[in-house]
Amino acid sequence: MLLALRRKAIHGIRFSSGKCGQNLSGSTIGPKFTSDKEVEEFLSKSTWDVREYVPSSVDEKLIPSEETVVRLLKISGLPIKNIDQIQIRLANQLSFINRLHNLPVDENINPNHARIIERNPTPLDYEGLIKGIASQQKSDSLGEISGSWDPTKTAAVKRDGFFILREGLLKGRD
Amino acid sequence: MSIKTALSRLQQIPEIQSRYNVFTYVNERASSQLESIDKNTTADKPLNYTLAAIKDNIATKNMPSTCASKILDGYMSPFDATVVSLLLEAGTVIAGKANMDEFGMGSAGIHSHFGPTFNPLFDHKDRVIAGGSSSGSAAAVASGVVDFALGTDTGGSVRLPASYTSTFGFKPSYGRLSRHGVISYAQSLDTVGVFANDLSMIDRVFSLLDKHDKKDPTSLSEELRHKFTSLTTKRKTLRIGIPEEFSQESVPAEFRAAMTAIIKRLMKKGHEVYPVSIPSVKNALSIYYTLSPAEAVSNLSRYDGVRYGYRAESDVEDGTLFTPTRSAFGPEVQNRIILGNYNLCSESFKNNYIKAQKLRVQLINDFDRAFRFPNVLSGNSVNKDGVDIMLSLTSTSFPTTYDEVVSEENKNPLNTYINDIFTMPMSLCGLPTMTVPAGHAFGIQVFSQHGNDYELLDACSEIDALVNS
Repeated sequence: MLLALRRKAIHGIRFSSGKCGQNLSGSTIGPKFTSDKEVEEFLSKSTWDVREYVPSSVDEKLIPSEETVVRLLKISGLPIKNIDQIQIRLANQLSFINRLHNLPVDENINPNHARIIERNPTPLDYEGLIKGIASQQKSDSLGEISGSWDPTKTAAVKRDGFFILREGLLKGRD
Repeated sequence: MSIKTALSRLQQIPEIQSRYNVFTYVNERASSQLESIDKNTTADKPLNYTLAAIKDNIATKNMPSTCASKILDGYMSPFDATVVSLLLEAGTVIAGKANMDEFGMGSAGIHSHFGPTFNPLFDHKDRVIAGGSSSGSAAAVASGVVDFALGTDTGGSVRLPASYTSTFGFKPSYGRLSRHGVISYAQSLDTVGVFANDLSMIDRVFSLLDKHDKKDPTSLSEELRHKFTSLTTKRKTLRIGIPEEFSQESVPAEFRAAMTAIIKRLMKKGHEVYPVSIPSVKNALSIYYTLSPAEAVSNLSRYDGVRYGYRAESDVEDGTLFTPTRSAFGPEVQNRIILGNYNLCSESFKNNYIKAQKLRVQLINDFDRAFRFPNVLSGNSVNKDGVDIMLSLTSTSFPTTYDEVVSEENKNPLNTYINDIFTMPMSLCGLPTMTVPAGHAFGIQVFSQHGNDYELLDACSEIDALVNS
């Protein structure tokens, strides 16, 4: 009873998370705990179970085709083997992340704000950029040392600033 | 700190290493480096005679940096990470590079090219896990062979092993400590963290490393740091939130009892405790496993054998370049690369990746509305009735044995993914979070708004005193 009342109170001061006021999720703060019993009751309940996220069996609809897996392996630069196992593993992983599809989200949200950096930094201007370039210095600790690295070292054929890599960089290629 | 204590710690390393597999590389010159401090020191340095373990994904010039991966076997960085340079300047001697889950991918400390790390709180024959991915850093501190250790935390990799080993594990606000020289796993989440057996050591190391670094584009500017300082308040009475989504019926009774006891003591001390609900926390796992593998794909694409570490005899297999070399990635890394590429494919990019980005913003906004310290980065409006800190458990269970983890993973890899459910939301929002030991092999998390690290550290001192009272 106490928990039910408390929950009602919590929802009574719900804050919306979206700018347009849609009740998409939001966080809420309930009234202060006033007794040990309230704390005990609050902590003894849970509103969801993370184990629900782990499927008890593989959802066959989510198993990617062999063609898809081969394509993924190629763009990943990984060996094309154990395709059956990868299909099952990927299906399990997708059951986990596809939960996102059905979640409501404020479409006005700027996805670039997901980075933990200033959302509205002072914009760079032309003068600032020019000043920045003028004051730029090489940093030894960043490895910016002239002549310290020759990227064309392994090229046997080079002329007038152009080079062809036939060996060294790529081994065993026809 | 004395040279005698430091040398005595070093002498224990061979035995601890043979039992718990804490290090990927042990610094054989550590004794002589300590002795040379004694002879050459003209002025006291803040960390003289301290020993540190450095996670093997943090670059060190004089020791290999392998990320516990065969693909970086024997790799020597031409420079020290900024955090390492700062520690060396302060007088610390590095005892060795700490074992870890390969490239930070894992929560048990079992996915290492160098073999699993075991938990020093238990008999080594029991083969109990130390947690991951900063397994060696946590184990080095728990076994007492170092004064502190550096780890990295992408989704809980400092806080979970700290909980399993009953050590303090601090993940500062994202951007506080330099990532220059930290080998990236997921750059929008990767954060350097500190382990120690006492809070005063965490405080000393964190304060020393808490500096803007122009070599790290995500390092918080001096201007932002000044804003945080001006907003920080020393409060006698804290408003403390307990988020209900961090309550799971499956957690051991001891965990719940410890949380209840701590909250009661905080109330008795005059602090105000409030129930909080942040429903979007439930989305954290799905958001994390969409975004982090996608970032990892990009970061790990550089490992072709041409510029770093291991290179196979041939560069081509089945018509694909560098496959023979990239086969050296361990199975968990390969799994996440495949998933990351799936998430970035045009068919799933909008449905998965962009959706996850938007939900991450929503989660940040939801936390902003629960705290009364403003989020300087988001600029969201401040909730004057918000809380100062929040408390939750760090782990959902006690650490299990290596064999049990492998068996669970073989049944379904997602069984280990959900271990991070209590730690990921704070990673996604960049919040400063500390694991404070609350019993044998478990801890609680104390966390606050981004930038409010010092108020959090003060609160942790008080909570630690209450745990031990």
